Amino acid sequence: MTRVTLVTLATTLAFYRQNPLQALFVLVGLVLGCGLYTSVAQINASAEASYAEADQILGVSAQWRITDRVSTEVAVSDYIRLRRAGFTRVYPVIEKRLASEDGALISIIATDLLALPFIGVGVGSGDGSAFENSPFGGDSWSRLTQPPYEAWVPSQTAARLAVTGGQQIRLREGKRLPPAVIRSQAQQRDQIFIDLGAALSIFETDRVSYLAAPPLTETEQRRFADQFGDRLMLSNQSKALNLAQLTQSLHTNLTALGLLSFVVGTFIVFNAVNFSLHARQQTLRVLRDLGAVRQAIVAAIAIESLVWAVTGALLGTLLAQPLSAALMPAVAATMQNIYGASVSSLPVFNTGLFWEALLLAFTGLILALVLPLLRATAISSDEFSARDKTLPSRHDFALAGVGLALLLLTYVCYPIASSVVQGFALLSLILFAGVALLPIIVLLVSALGRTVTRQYWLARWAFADVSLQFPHLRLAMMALLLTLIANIGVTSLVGSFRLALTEWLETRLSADFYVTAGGVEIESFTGQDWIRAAHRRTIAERSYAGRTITVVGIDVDAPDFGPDNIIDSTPDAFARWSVGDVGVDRVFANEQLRYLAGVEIGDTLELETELGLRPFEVLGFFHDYGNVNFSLHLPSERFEQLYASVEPQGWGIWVHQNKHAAAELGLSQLGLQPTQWVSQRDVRTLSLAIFDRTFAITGALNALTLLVAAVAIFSSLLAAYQFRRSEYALWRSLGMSWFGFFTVLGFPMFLITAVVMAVALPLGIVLSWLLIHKINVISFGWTMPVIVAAEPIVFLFVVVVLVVLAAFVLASTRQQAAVNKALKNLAGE
Amino acid sequence: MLKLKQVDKSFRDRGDVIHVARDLSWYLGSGESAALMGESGAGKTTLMNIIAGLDTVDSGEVLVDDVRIDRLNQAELTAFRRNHIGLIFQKFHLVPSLSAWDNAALQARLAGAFDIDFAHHLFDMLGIDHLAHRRPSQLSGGQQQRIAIARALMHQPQLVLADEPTGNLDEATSNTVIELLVSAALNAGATLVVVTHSASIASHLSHSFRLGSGSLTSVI
Repeated sequence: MTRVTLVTLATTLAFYRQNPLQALFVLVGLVLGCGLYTSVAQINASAEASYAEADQILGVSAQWRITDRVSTEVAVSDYIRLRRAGFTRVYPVIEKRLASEDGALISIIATDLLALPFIGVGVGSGDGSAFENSPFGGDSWSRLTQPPYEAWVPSQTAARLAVTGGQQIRLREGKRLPPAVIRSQAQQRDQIFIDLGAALSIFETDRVSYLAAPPLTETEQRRFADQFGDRLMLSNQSKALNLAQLTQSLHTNLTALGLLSFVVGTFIVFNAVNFSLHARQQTLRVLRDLGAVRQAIVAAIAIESLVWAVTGALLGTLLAQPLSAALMPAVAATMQNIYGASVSSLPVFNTGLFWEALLLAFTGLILALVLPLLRATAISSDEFSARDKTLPSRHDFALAGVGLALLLLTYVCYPIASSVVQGFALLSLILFAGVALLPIIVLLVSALGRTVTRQYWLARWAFADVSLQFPHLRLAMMALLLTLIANIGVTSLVGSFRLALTEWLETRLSADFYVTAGGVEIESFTGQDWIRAAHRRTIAERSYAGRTITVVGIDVDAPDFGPDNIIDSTPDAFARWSVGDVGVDRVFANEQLRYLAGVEIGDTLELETELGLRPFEVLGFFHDYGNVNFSLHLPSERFEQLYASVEPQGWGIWVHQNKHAAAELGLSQLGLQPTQWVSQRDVRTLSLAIFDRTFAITGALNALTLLVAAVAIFSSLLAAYQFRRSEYALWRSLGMSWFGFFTVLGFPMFLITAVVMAVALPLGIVLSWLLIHKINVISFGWTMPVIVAAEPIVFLFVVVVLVVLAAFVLASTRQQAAVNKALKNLAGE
Repeated sequence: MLKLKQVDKSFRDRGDVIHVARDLSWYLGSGESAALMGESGAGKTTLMNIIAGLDTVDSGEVLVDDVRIDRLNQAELTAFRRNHIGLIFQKFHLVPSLSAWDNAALQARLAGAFDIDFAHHLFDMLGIDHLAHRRPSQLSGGQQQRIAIARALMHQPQLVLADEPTGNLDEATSNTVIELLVSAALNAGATLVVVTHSASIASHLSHSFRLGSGSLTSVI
């Protein structure tokens, strides 16, 4: 048996010596499929590793967080009071997300190194060995904590910002960070680390973002509440909303795109394996006639598959390294912008991922092998070739039935789906429905074309050839269809999101200038001829359901918040909100409160105010794209009563048309520094730039899956051409010109591509609708109108046509020589 | 009609030089028919490919209808074949997606020489008019070869070349097909060359030649 198997293996493998391209395609399919999936798995694993470290700061536990009950920041004097009261393990943290001079997003973290409770022992406690052994040991800390200070920039961040050692990063408002030192510590992720003293000096403040503490005993918690409960608030980070849970949809989305690539890769493998086994049919028959038992043939093919799988998984894992390294910064940007999560932009690798890739390669190969193997060992060559010509078959009709059933199932299951995974299951139903419906639609279009063009023999021929080419191209075209549906769905989602965000920014940032100096009084603006309107904005931060909730005081006549901004409300809600009520405070809430905390219209939230715990009745909701926090809008008059000590954050200034230059001059004349006001236009531009960077990952994965589909089409074309070469030689022998030849040859491909695009369009729109109204709501807590913009779809279709054209031209270039060669053998066949 | 003048053609096979034609000359007039016989590997198919412009000569001249086809480039050869030559193969080589009618009309349409009355006449003569709408997969071997004959004659070429046209058919069908081929070619005024192993098939043609060691000898 072993000898027979080995002889069989040697004989069947000889095929690849003659057809190295087929070997290449098996490998390309496996490597691309495994590589893309593994890189996505690696990205997810890296992000999850970052979440696991979310309650740590530079290797020190930050399980407890202390914030000010009234202000958004904690005064340094409060921190000193805490230390003096015996809370020596409490340490201050400043966290800021800022834009660099050229608009790149920067995360800065600062703390007091001397206060960090290293390995449970504070430096001040006298055990200096732990500190000496820490990354801050030796003279590192003195350079970090003494002028001119140092900014520790992780290498990946330095690469992203194009910063070299010694260089000072310049912020958008003109401030400079200390000289950069390229090094990073545990849990630093993509944050730039500077000493607290340096941060307080750079940002010209005496307040920190929050105070952090390692686990506190119950006695300590009680003592804290007794001594500081009136001013400060203690919250447990482990009870806050889980980051991993929050970001689940993005990871599921990435995994789905990875799996899509894998499925498309499997299609390529299937095509290549199918062709190679079919081409070896005669060899296998001869082997069987010569006494090779069926088990030996199956064993030989199984060994061949094993070799393919191991090679594919190895190369796929290797490919995943540069790929995930290239994609990770985009993912990190997404995490930071959408969820406010700091994630390292360096991917991590673990051996588990290699085994996963191997398992995946085997699964893909088994999926790709089952059908061709059954045919190769059980069906005769003649029956096999006859199958390709029999179209449409009952199988195609049955498949169409399955497709319709899947669409029906999606419709029925839509109201039931309530989790991210169930939402993605709905998306898969749409994708597979499309795949199942494709063959019958192509064949019906071909039949219709033949009927309509029955007067024109060449058109009739070209339409008829669709049914001959389609069996060879169907898998590649199914792969293209999957890619296009996903592409249109995601592109529409991102496009809708971008448009909604733009409109939202237009409204929310409708003021032309935003003055950040809260101390400026309204009197300063009176009499200025360039000012159309000036409104103040005040914000108080509290905590609700484990998340930060911002209460925003808004002038009722401010142009950036009006009845049009309310998406769902009770009748006359805006009027009722504007006038207020004595017994209960009325607010509008952001959608996040509705979808993530289950708050409904008419519900009452209880929040801390300076007048004690107060009820807030929710009158309606507003869109609040991209906000990671809950938010309430309260009329500013009432806000000033409830949060009297909160300093205004600034002013929104609306200026008369063509008065921008005068306004800038006027603001300077009011004694404001250029760093104390921002042009909202710049903010809008920056916000949209950040948005585009956030969704770069989607664009990159879309492009990659399209590339994989293109490879699938190319390999299928080559296989189809090889399969039909003698027929093509006949066309030439009858005197057909190359022009006519390529017209008849190319028409079916482009017709099928057109059908694929036509099927992908409605299904892609359905997909984007599901993404926005199901997945988005479940995971982010926002809805938005579905906008199907023609431009990106037309662009996508043009790209697809060009990709298909490129595959066709590449495959056809090889054809001319091959057909000429086949021409000489035609008579001998 | 068909002239080969001092044609040389050889190729290498695992180090050995095989001579298909050595200073080979041959002439066939209009309306004549000839059987080209010879042992396997003698080069019959290669010689036919040379006459059809599907293969090239090492030296010498190949004239079809007084045109030096050995001097034509690929595009000119394709056009020449389209207009002047009809080809019939052992394995029929019909286009599976086209009906019998469209298959038969294919070359005539490519050449812009499709004549519907002549097409009906051919179908009637070959006894295949009831098969016009069928696809190749719905036809027997004999029926497929008759469609292939119709295709080779429909553009009324000056030269028809058939390579083992009955090689895939049983004896009774073979006789019917060859009789139809010869009479149809003669009716169309075409010169006919048939590559065959069979003396019985050769007996239907006006001349027989045997190819061996690179030269042609007439068989009486």
